[in-house]
Amino acid sequence: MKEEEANKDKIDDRLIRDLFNDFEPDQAPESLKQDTMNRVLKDWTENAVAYKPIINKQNRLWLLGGFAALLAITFMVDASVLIEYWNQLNIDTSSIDFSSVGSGFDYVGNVIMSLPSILYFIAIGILGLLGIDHLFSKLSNI
Amino acid sequence: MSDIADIALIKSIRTGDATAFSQIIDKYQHMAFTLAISIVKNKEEAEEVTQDAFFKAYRAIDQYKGDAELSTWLYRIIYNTAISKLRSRKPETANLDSKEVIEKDAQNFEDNLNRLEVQERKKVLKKALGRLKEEDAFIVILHYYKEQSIEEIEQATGLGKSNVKIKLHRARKQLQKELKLILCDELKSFI
Repeated sequence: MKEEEANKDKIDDRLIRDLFNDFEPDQAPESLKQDTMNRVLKDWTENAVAYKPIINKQNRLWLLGGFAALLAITFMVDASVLIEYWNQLNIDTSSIDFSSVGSGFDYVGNVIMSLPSILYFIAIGILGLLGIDHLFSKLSNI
Repeated sequence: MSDIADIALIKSIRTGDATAFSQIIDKYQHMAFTLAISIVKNKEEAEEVTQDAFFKAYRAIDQYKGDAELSTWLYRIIYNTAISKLRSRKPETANLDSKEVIEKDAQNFEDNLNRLEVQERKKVLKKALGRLKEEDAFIVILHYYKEQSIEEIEQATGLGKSNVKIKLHRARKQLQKELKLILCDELKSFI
């Protein structure tokens, strides 16, 4: 009985499938596209100047999470840990002459200190802007 | 996944090129209109529904994630808009469920269908689809014309898998019943 019913369903299915071979969708009225685009463009002009955050909520969460993770890693691997690790390696550094390296650093340090502080702020500002611009242009393609 | 052309259009719209949306309308308007008619059953309301659905799609374009076909996403919006339209209607005094359906036994149903010319077959099918319950006609068109799987219909309607299967089964039976009735009427008109 069940088999008979299943067969009947199969036949019905085939029949309807055959019938749909000739099916054509209804033609949408010509006014449909025009009217819809009028609404779309009206909305677009109204909202064109509105602020749209480039970083959406989901991306913001990712960024915050990433920043938090970075902070955690920085705290975990701070300089003291690195020095301790270096000492544990027991590398003999007596044969290396660090005095020329030290004087070189002193010279660079003096040059940097003689620069006016405004230059540092400008450099940090430019780098910051470049970084933000790069980040935003990446996010806008997500 | 959506096709590459659709993805490119969506990117353009997201970057502020609203005119790119007209290409999406061009591509999907006829199917969208057909699906809207299958639910609201009249052309004026179907045009309104399709227009509203496209506009909603434009405004929600940022929410489209691309994990389903763009067409499926659009059909979902059409489905929801059309169902809302139905709910906003005043209740009718008679509906398809309550109407008395006179059972007529059409002999050789398949033969009768095959005797019809292609144009007549199209007409008969559209008429029969028009008599189906709203959701049923929508599902039948997606399944038999767009050849969508049960899973895709699930996505397009938001209904559960078993619900889609039951509706499809019921719709198939009902469609056949309506086709028989229409064919009987057609044959009578010839005699």
